[in-house]
Amino acid sequence: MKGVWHLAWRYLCFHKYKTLVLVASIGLIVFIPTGLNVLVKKGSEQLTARAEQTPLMLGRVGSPLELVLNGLYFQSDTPPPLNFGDYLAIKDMDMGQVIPLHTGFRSRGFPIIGTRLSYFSFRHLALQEGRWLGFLGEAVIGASVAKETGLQVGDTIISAPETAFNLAGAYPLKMTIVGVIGKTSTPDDDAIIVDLKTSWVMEGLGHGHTDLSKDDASGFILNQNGKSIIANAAVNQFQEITPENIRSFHFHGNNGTYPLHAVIVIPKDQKHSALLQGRYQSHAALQLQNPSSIIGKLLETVFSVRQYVLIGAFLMVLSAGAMSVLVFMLSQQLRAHELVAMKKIGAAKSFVVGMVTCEIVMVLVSGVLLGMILTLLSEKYGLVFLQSIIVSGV
Amino acid sequence: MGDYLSIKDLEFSYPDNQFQLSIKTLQVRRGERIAVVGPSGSGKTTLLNLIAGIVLPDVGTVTIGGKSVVAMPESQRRQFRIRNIGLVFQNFELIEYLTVLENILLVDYIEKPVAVMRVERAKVLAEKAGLSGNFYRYPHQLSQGEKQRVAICRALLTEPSLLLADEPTGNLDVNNKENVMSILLDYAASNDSTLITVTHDQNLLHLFDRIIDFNELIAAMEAGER
Amino acid sequence: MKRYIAVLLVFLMGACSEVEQETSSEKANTDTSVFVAVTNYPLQYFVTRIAGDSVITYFPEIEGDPVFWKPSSKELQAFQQAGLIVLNGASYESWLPYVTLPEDKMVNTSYSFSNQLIREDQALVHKHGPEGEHEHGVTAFTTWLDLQQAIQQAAAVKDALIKVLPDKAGLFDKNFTTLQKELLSLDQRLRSIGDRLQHTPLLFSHPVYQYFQRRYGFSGHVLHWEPDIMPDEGQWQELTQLNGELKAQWMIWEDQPLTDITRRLETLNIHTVVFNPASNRNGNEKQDFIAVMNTNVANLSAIGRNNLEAGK
Repeated sequence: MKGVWHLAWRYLCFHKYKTLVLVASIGLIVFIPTGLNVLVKKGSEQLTARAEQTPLMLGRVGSPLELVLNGLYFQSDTPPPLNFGDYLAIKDMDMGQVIPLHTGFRSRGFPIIGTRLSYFSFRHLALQEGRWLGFLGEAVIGASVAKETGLQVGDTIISAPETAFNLAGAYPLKMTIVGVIGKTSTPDDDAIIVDLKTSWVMEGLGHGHTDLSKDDASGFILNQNGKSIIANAAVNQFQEITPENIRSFHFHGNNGTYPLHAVIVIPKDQKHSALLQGRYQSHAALQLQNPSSIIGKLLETVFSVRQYVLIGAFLMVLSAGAMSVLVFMLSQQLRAHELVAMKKIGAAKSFVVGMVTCEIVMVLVSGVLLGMILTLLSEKYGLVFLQSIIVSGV
Repeated sequence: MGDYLSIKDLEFSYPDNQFQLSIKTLQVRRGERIAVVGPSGSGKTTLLNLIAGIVLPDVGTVTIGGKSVVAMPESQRRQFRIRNIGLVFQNFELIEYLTVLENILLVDYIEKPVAVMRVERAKVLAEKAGLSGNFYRYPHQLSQGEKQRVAICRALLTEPSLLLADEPTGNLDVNNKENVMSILLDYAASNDSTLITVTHDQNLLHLFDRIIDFNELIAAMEAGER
Repeated sequence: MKRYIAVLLVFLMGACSEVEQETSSEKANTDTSVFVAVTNYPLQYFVTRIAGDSVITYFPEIEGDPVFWKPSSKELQAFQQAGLIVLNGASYESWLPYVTLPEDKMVNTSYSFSNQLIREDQALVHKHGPEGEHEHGVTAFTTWLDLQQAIQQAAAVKDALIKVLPDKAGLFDKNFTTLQKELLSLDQRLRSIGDRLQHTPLLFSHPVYQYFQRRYGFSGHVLHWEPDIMPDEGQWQELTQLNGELKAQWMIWEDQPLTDITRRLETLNIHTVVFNPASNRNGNEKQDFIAVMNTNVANLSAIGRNNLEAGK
């Protein structure tokens, strides 16, 4: 019996490329449907997990999906802003914890999330290095941001303005990295998190400049009438907040009108959740959404799409299977001479059949194993891998 | 000393064509060296296949060493062939994915438990055939002459008492022809083995004890028909 | 199209290993001792009086007036880790706009009377950039020198403490009531002094008495003198000119001024009275807030009674 295995093994080794192609195609035949299933399952679990962790989300009236995708995953277009006053209003209802999110800026392609310290504990984020946000102009970066950019605590990162023609005065701000968040395998890994006020500085709502009442500021002053000073545009808008200039930073106007893009709402209990949803149900300007139901709807779409993809994959598997059988049959034909010679020398028919069977078994088992390994790998790393391909491609 | 191989009243035809082979009687002594000559398609190879038990006659008997090849059950016939008959083919029929050593040992892979394989004997045979540097090479890396020497070594592994060679020099140049024939003849001589060789090569006929000419056989058959 | 890419991207968001659910903040919540960070001494006093040993107060070591203090990175981290951050409000913590603190742990003790805060008239209005005119205002911040406001601040402290330690509500209420009585008594004594001195012109060495003046009806002029810096001749001249009309015989100081200042003031027939706002405890470890206020009241009550003893 060992002879059968030996000859089968030798045959496969000698025709290593053909064997590899066969193993790979059988591996793919196994992997395509199972891997796809795993990816969809894992992806939906991930989506659902973060959505379920986020009970409610308040935003300006518009696309609920956009609000939720942006608020949960920092993807999609930035939704229309709501006012900080809207945040204060829901906060004053005292029906639960509220966390503001400003998602309007990016740096090196990574979203800059302006929020409050409570976001870190809400998302169970832990520091890998450095400290949490302390002062205006500081940033804490996600594990992937640190890995991909090589940035560390003490380095700086510059925000990119929302649009190139932002006339409201969004200036690029140089921020100091004070902490790196440990890996969470969530969108927080790709985020640059700053204080909400730092986002407002980027919006041009808060700024620091030379003290206009000081004598050496006279060069900037166009007109001084009593206590009213009109300064020219040369007033130095700081592009970096430093310990030296930080005290000159201040905010203008009523902060109730300052922009936010979403507010995470964690009601105290079911009753408060229902009450809140009731209150915002027919709100003209605001929407209070339940992220898990929005994501649920999205997943329904994904699952219906998956059916078609699976049918496609099944057809592919079928054709790949047929091709593999054809390859087997052709190679047996090419070997007819060899097999006849073996029989002439004295090999039993069962020996020849056994040898070919062993070859098929080895190829099949290897292929299935490969498919299973690929499936397991895709369960562990598939999403990240695909994501990195797509991100670098977009 | 009696006949080692004997064929009596043998008739054979392939079911799908007109070919017919009839041999009234053929007797071969142990150690005898016989050349079989004749035109293509006259049944020389078929004769070797009949002797080896690869195909069976419609009627008649084939007896080797007193045992009827025709009467044996299939598995016994196969065993008998493996142990007693060495086969050499015109096209060598080497297994492309096995090394020289493995090709020589092919019979053992087919038949024996791996532990009792005749590796040492295979090496000795290969060395004698001038293949010492080629143990681990593959057939496609060998010359024609080397290939046939490997095929002969494979046939000799079991120390057969009957060697059947079908045009063993058909694909070889002059030097290799002599080399291959001398290996076969030397073996037959030193082991008192019977050698039956199908050949077209008139220059080799002097090396044999007897020549069976299929032209005569056909003439006899035609005479018989008339 | 962008949205579909977004959906796809979101869908592919990494789901590798199980996320560590245990975090430091969760662990902190299970900690039984509550740290309460405060930004001035009156607040520290209120917290201590109301909560006693139930909490550990954190008041950074500050040289001078805490209103001019800016937190260092370490001090800020201590504030971030506190279970409760008690703020004076009324722009006392001018560093608040540029720091990050846990909003849900902060309590602005002057919030309840924020509509009654005094805006200083030296506010600076300026105009530049796209958003046009705006004001860099200054709000009077020594809120607790109006003892009624101090009571409201203490009440805010009590409410916040109860939120953090609801089990101790009874104790905190009881302690607050006692404190409230003492503050009320001070308030009443100051009211009666205020009533008595409502027509007595006074000089205030520093602009920290706005709420005090408003509540107790003290009228007078506010200077910008420091007790440990001899005023220059210009300032003396200004005083002489001013007092020619005002005819004030009493000048209220945050702290005992230099002897040279006192002597020169005496030559102008101006007596020194110390009313310490007690914003910090620098060099006054023996007297707590109430004791300092009692001394203040005693000092004030001397005005108009015994000229020579005043301020001693």
